[in-house]
Amino acid sequence: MTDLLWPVVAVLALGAVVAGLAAGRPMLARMAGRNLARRRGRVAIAVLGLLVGTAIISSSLVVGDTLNHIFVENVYDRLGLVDETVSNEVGGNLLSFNESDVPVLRAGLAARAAPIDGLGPALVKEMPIRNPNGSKGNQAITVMGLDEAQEAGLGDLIARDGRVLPLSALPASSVYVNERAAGALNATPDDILTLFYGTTNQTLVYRRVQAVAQDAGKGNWDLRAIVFMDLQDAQASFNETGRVNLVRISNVGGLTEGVAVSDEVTRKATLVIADNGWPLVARPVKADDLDTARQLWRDATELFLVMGAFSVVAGLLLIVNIFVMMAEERKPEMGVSRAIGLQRSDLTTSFLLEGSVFALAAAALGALAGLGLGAVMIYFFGILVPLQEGIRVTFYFDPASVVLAFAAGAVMTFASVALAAWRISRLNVVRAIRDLPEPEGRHAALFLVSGALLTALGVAGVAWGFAVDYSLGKVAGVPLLALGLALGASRWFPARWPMTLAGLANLTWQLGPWHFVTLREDEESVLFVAIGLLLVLGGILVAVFNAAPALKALIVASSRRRGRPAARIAMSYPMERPFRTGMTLAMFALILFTVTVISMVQALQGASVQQFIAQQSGGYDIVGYTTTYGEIPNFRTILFSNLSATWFRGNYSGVASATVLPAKVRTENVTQQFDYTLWGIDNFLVNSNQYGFHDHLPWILDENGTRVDLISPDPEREREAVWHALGQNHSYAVVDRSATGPSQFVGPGGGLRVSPGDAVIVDDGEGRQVRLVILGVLDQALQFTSGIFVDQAVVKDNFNVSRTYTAYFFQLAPGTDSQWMRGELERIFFSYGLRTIDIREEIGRAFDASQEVLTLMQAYLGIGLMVGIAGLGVVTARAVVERRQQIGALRAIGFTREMVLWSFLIEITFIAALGIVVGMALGVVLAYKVYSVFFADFATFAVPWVNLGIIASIALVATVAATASPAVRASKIPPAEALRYIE
Amino acid sequence: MSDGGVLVRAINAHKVYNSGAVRVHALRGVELEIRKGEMVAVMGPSGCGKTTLLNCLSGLDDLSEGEVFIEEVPLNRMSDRAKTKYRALRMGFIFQSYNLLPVLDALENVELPLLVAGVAPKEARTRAEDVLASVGLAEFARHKPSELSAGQQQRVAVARALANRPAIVWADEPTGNLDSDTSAAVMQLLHEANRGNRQTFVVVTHDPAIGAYADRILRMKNGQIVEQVTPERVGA
Repeated sequence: MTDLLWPVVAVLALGAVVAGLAAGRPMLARMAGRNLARRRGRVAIAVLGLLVGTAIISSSLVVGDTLNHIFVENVYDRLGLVDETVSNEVGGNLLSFNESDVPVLRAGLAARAAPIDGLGPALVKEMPIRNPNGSKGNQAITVMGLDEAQEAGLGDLIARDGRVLPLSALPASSVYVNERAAGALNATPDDILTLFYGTTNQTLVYRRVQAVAQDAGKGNWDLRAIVFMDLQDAQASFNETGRVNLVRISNVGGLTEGVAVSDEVTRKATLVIADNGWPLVARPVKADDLDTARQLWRDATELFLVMGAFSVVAGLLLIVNIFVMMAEERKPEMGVSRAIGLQRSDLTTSFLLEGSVFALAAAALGALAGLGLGAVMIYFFGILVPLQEGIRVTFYFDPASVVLAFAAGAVMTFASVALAAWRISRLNVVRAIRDLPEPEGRHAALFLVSGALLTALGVAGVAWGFAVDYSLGKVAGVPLLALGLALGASRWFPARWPMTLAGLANLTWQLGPWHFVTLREDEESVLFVAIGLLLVLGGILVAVFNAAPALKALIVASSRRRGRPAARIAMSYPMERPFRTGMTLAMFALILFTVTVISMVQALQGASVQQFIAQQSGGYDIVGYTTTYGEIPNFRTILFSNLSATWFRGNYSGVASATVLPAKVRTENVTQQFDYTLWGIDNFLVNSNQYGFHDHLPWILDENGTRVDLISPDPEREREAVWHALGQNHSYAVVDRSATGPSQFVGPGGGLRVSPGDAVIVDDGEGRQVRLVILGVLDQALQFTSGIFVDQAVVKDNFNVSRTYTAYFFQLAPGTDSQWMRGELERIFFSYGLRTIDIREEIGRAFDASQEVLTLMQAYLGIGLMVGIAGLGVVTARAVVERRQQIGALRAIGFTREMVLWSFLIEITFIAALGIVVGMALGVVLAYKVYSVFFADFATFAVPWVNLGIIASIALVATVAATASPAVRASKIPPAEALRYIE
Repeated sequence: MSDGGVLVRAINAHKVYNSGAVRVHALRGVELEIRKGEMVAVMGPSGCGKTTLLNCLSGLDDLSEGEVFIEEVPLNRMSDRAKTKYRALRMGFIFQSYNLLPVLDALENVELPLLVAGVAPKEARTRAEDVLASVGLAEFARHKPSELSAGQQQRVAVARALANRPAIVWADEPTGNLDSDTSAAVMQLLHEANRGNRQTFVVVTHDPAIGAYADRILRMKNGQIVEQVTPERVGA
């Protein structure tokens, strides 16, 4: 999947640069090598921290590879040799057509030299089947009638022992079953199956099982449980003589390569269809499904990369921080090097050579670590995410992805090293030799130039963003402008005030009560990363320049006498080096920001799930569907003769039904149609449903032309009035919210877009139409009952009832066990293929899976915390070295070992805690902003305090535990030794 | 000027450093007494063991052999915590490179040992201000060390050492980084504290001009005290 050219070129170029530098200046290479050897421990910590960024990239790509592999394999498993289908499909429902069209289609394709090697018709039906011998039945077995004479090129059915199972060899009244169907029916050869075809006028068909076919190739069609029959037998059995409802086409090229000519075959098939005026559509099913699988790969990779981007950025900050500290450490020797004649470029080269070892080692280890991380993620993904039966979750990776991750990691690390090296080389020789601090204003010119550049960039961003409605420009423009002005102002004012103002301006711009972002699908990821990074930047600027002084003042004012000196010292150091502190804070804040955002999504889901269930279920506990056309005759009589009415809420009124028609719907005066379900609801449903309205017309005219006002001071009466209006005028319809815009079930790609008052045309695919005016839009996009709701008479009067299904809605009395009731309903109405779902349970299952995946994602991103820990570890180790003499002085004036230890621990805890608090606070506030803009209508906001507390505690304890060792060492340094120390 | 009682006594003090393969015998059986109120200068060439002696006498470092008594209490029988507490309450230190905490301002640097010693915060602040004023730096109280000259930094270090009114002040090359005028000013401060507060001073130096402020000069060579002399007193 991954193009290797550029990664390989990048790595080779990098290698060439490093080799060239080393060969040109061997002395510098030797210096770099020896510097690396000087502090092996620190190098190890740094590489560990740096590899995280690459590991995140690598694991993101590998997870994408695996998902792609799983779903691509699934496409081949499902479709076998079939590349295209020809059918008249309405809402997933295959309408039958004349079998005589098939030879015409075949001849037409041959005449157009379509590169196909197989074309076969099929009659596909779904129905309840029972196997009395095996004492097992299933309401939704697919029955597939195939004509062996036309199956050439479409593969064979293969028995478990490897024999080919030709349909032509089937004895009369016999069928083959695939392994999935055999399992669902507990069927073995010679069992007699009962096929229940049709609902209202049911036909019973008895067939003997001749053999069991493998779930492979043709036997694995659409991963369904299938009974294979001879086509003529199927046509005769299901009253479809001379009719078929599906044509499968196999292209030249076999299982995987045939898809290359799919466009051509589809185009030619479409031409034949058009020439003959058939109501059929040719679909490149394999190509489409492969596209979907690849889109899933891209989406998954992007999701992981976007969420992981913050860890990657944290890793880059770590690199810069490490190298800047290394430079501070080696300042005197660098000064001496310059004094004896080394050029600035030599210092830069020396650091680059040293950094290239970090970059290559960390990238290589990170790319491999990402493989392991990806495997762990996929393992848990397979456990947590409920996938369709037959989908195999197996870890897979494209080696090119690992190379790409390595190249990306190495190049990014090297670029950061180059930036740091450039910054480092700009030192004053005398001050460097004497290890004196840089004077105030030394960087004034640099600040002014940077400030001017950022200001210009900010102005351009704002202008561009608002001129062409480009969200990234709007989002980033103002913060860049504020930062640019602050940098310039730092020339004249203490940095604290302009930087604090810039930070506050940034936060206000991103989080204020305005909404200027226009979401476009291709920009969402970039925007999220940009907003996250800018928010963290703003938060860090405010925190780093204000938190420590504020806390120190607080400590001075309030702390206990004994703890005060250590705490005061601890609070003083972070302010001394705002750049270093800010970088370390940012590492924590970036990681905790993403973890918090995910935790907030989890909490939002958790807090909204009950409301969501209520909105989705419309007050019903169980919804049942028939698998074949028609309605169950005498449904209510059979129901209440088998089950007590007291088990239903409101007794008899607790059961309602709808006549369901898969249809094509378009807005009036628009040609584009969408598959939509038309729900003809009965009076019970009108009276008992609890679906609320987002919007509706204020009044209607009933069938007699009398105005009926729908507005009421009582919201419940108003809701009921709107539903009753469907019966008062049959030209009105209600739609769920998926018809008004993107929802969690329908993406922004398209779909019906209507609002109250609009007219839509509903078409059954066979020429029957009805015009409806949208009366109201429901609160929610519906998952299980999405569609257009009309009075039952609208469906029955305008369409062919024999082409409709029936849905049944059940409200259970308190105390009635839903699981038991589902079993009873499916048992009583088995022969009609009644299948039931418990909406609460279905949503709960999806909710649980989603929550677990989000937890998994948090754990995955939590790995980024290693960057922060490594960063703080390196900073602390450096601080111990830097402050060695000061530690000696402190011990001399009476600081005990414990006080020295505490001063370091308080400082470490303060930095980690501040980073954690900044990241978490920004995550919570951003989540609230996103909620208030996009989800406030139908979700409940909640902050998962306990969860956040646990995350913060784990992060803090892990950080302090992992970075305490230099502090412990510092406390144990004998004072005289510390005082003697010269770096 | 001594008031007679022995404050510090060293008996057969040995200190050996093991620096990798090299074994350095820094103190070789030093015998020494320092009386209360005395100002003693320890002089000698570089590497003769002056700083080591000061560190071992003050409890900053441990002897390899022998004993040091401070106010008749044997240092080597005190725990690290007890020695630290003793330093906080009874000792002051002045270092050649000042060793002020760069993150604290002058006032906070002076205040710090008072807080460590358990002085109430308000009192600590008042005393720190007074001591800082006494070294002529009242107006620089809110300046950080990096904003002060070398002489000013050392005066802050002196103020820090004196803030706790210690019984003994250990000064390791207190003027080593200063020019002669500033050195004289700093030594004058120490001299006044010695005379005015009857505080004992042990000053390590190799500057004869500094030694002239002392009541007694101990000359060291190869880890041993080879001579004790009374200098020509400055300002006597």
